[in-house]
Amino acid sequence: MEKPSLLLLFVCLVPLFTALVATIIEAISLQDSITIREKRIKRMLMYYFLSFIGIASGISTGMAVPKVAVHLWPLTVLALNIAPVLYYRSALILADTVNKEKRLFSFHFLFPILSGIFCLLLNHHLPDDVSLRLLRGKQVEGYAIATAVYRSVPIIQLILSIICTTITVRLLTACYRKNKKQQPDLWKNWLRLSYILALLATVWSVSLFFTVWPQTGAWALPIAASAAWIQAMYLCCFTFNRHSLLFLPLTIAPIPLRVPSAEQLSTHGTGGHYRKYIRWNKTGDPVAVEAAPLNRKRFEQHVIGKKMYLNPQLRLTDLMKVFNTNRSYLSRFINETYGHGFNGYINRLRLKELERLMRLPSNQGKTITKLYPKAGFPNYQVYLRINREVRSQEAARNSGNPTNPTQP
Amino acid sequence: MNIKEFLQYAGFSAPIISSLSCLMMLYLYRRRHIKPEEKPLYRMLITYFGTVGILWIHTLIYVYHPVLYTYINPIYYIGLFWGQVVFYQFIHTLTRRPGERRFSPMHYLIPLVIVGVFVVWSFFVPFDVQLRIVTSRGEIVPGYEAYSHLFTARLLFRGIWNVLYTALAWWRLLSYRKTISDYSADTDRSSLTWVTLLLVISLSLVPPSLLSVIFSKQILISSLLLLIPQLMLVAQHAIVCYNMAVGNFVFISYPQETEEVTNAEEQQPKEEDQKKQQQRRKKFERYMHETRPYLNPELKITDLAIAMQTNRCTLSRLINQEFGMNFSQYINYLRLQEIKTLKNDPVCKRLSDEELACMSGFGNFRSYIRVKKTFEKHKK
Repeated sequence: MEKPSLLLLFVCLVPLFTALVATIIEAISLQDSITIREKRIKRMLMYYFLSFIGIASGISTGMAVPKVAVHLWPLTVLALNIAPVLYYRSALILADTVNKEKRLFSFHFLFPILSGIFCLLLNHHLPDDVSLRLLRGKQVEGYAIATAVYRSVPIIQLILSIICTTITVRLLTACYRKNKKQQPDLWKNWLRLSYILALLATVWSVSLFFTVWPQTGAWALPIAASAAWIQAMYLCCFTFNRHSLLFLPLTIAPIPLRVPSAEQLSTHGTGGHYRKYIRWNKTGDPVAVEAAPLNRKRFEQHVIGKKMYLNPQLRLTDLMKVFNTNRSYLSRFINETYGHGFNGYINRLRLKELERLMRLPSNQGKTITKLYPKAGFPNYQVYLRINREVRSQEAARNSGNPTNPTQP
Repeated sequence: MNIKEFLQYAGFSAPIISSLSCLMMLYLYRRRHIKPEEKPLYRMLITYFGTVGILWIHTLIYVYHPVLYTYINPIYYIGLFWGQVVFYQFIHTLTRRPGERRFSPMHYLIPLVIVGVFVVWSFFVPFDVQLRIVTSRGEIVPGYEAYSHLFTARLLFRGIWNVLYTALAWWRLLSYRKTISDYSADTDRSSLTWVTLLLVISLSLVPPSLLSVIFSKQILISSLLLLIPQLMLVAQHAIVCYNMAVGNFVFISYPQETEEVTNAEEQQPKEEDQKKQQQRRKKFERYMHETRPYLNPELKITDLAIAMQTNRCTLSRLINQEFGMNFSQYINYLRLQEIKTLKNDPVCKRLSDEELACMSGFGNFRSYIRVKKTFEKHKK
């Protein structure tokens, strides 16, 4: 083989191996991603690079070893048709801040896959020498439909790519318009980068279209290869991790930020006796957080919701760990909100639990002496004392204001 | 062109393209994201990719354009050595510890001497002879036996250098890991697992170059055996490029640390010391509890030392004595506790494990899994 065609072959191999590197990189980074959305975009990009490999291997074998290229042809067609769709899909996931789509397979992929299968069947039926001649762009007598299919591949590819790129650009522009107020410079950069990438995608598909004619093929192929090379590099370089520029829309979390219930977002800059600290949220950005004051809801969520009172050895110091405060603060809180001491409060809860247990049909006929340990009372005396206290209080209240006895 | 020739050609161009693409990617990335203290690392890596790219371009020329190769072969010869050395220097810088000597320029000088001898010798050898050695793929030319041996020994040299420098790098990595666990709490970064993978790949590249001793180059080039190392090189480039860009390493800039020999430690600890120790522990625990620095995935012991107003050694010793763990284990233990409380929290109950791991300060999900496993093993 003479030197110029070797060089041309090298040019064809450039996108192939760059895409291979990019695929490996995306595959590794897939494991490092944190949010589901990030993972999905990276997967889409990985497939996109794989389609690059398919296209480039098809073209390079077409130049050097046409015998192999004939067998690779259906794969090449599939890759050619699926690449713009994959590009569109990744942009769709990126711009989709509402996060409503859940399906794995989408109808966008239907046409490329069908075309791939159709080409596979067609290839199967044609004799090898005929498809070889068709691949070289020659007329073959008696195979009008096959000739038409072979001729239409670049045109269909071009149309698909233009449609997909147009929708993608519209989508990204809409995303930019919606979010540009937050960080104008960063978003402007992002938009410029996305436009460049879309432009490059168009450039390589248009130049691929021009490779059909032999007189334009000589210069169209290097343009396509270099455009694909630059696009693959930029795409890979700006998606290394979630801090990368291309993933800027990911920082707008679709789900409102979740902070643990013991904390709240730090609102006032200074003042307040709560210690502030930094929590790194899911998108990897620091958020200032402070300990939330203890409130009734949070307290009951733990003590009643998890039935902590069932533990007969429950101490106030055990709650300290749960609520991250000290003993005296907790004790004061219980006194102020419930009007009892810690023991009185917990034992009242146990009493309620015991009453609930006694009402259960399965416990019908059982005595209190059997049931009191199940409600968390450490011994019978405690039960008796608490029962007496509660009853006497109720009696006092009933006699005090008999008009509305239901009020606690 | 048949299939075999095509695959060969593709194989020879694979490392060129991958290294140049990685170079471009790193260059693009460097302009945007890099921190100033990481600059030398990037420079070194870009040099490495450049060297590898040039090296493989020369190989391609050797196979397809022997006349041109004969003119430029000293560059190839020196690149063969320096590729290894640059990569070793990269790992050397990556695993630098305090109080260590800088990278010695001797590593670059020795190959230069070998190649220098070769270049000077080449001036006295007619061009035809050199061309004959190249085109015949390493035949010994009568009358110039010693010269031809030196000419063809480059692949052997490459094999030796490869083994030597991989072993050196391995040794460095092992000794580095022992010290680094005390610096950073991010196991994924500090353990440099990916470097191990790189070294394995780099070792697997040895056999092809050593095979050249047994078989003639003619056979070696025409067989498809070379395809394996070539594709592995592509993988290696991708791994290096990715990990570098993501920053899977801990770069510690050392303020001039002077080694103090403390004999005071060996004395019996008095009661007063114990009291002080208790106080320090209390202060430390309160600090950890209130400001929760372990939520930061990039926490280093030096950050804590600044906040506690002590130095690294004292803090490290305190953690070791009081908690029986080293710094990174202790921090990761706290993170595991955090993840437990988060799981019990009604607000965060439905979040995925990945998100919880991120919220509790692990750098990524994999490091969480690793830490969890090691702690479970410890319990047994």
